[in-house]
Amino acid sequence: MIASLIVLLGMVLSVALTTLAERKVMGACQRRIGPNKVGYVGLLQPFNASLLLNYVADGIKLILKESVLPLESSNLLFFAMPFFTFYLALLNWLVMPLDFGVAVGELVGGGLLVIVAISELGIYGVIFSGWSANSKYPFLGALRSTAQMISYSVGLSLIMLTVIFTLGTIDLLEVITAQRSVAVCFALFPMVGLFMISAKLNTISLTYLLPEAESELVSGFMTEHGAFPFACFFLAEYCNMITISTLFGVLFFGISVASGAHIALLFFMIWLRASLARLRFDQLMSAFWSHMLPFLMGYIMFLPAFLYTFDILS
Amino acid sequence: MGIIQTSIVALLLIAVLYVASFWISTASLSTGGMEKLSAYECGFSQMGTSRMKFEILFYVVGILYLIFDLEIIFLTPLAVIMPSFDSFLIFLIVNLFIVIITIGFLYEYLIGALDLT
Repeated sequence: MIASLIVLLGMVLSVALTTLAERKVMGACQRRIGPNKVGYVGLLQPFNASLLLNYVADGIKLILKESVLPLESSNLLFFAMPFFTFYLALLNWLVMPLDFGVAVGELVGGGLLVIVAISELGIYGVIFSGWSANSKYPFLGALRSTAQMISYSVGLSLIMLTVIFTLGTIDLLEVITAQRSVAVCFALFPMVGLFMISAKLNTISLTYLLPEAESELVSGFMTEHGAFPFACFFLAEYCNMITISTLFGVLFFGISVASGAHIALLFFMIWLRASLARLRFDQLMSAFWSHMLPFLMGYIMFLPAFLYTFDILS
Repeated sequence: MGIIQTSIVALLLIAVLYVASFWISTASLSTGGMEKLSAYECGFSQMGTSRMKFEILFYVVGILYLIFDLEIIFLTPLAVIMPSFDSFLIFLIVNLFIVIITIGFLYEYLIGALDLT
């Protein structure tokens, strides 16, 4: 009880600090300082009690705001979906390894499948929240985000499948222990790069800013959401970013969240967001379906034959 | 500690924040009238309904996703039990399965069903 509460609260806290890290890194990339007033070098920015310090706050402020329920929306779905999305984002941490042989929920066997299932359930949060707002921009934004997320989640699952082929297990704790002698990232080097790309695009990623294309779609599927429902989407997004960065370390390097190495991929995601221009939507989709997917299918065909020929099945 | 216990803790954690935000929020839900409560549409009042037709391509992508996801679900147990079987036959089965899926995908790609422009 207490232990799970500590892990979950730590997760929420870590998400809050990730939003700050993003603003700082973006600031550094654009040659400005970024938030540096609240607390020591801006460290208290995410929790700022704005009434006292009179600065713009990030986290607590959104709880204090008024929630608007649009007249024509489907009320239940409209308020339930942000909750659902954030809940799913936190549920990932039931099975995510915290250290060698340590996870919050002791689930024997199928940790990787649980993560895949949760990340694909998250798509319902996007599509229903866009539909239930009963407004044009959220609807179009939800369609686009859904198409993008389901495409790249296929890619993500195929990449996980290559790791399963190589290590012969779907238990995340066993995935870590199987890599104690040598990490699998050397054997599956092309997959490392592809995982980085599809990890960014599978989370509701701010990276290419496609789901919330500000110039044409205002704010994507969450245009009508304000106050804490919006904050839920925001937190869930960063929570998913941390989860997928940790999963990257677990799958390819055999290191868990205790090593803190997921910060590298997190930094890489923010860095890409600051430096790359936005893709057009059709370019993004054709990049997956006509370039990445054929390569992945070929790799899946090649890999078992390779492992069998050289007799290195685990 | 069990999975169910932890997921209930997560549920309560978010629920407390969610309910607290409705209590604490300083403005009421009803003030502001139509302007605040109508759907956002570039500063104009709403034109038509938002339940409109959409591009068939999103539907095609959804169907493709279902097929590929099922394929991955079928391949995962094969990948796990492959070391214990250690026979040549199982590679033929896996590869045959992937080839059939790929032929279907190629057909869909070549007739231009995925062409967005």
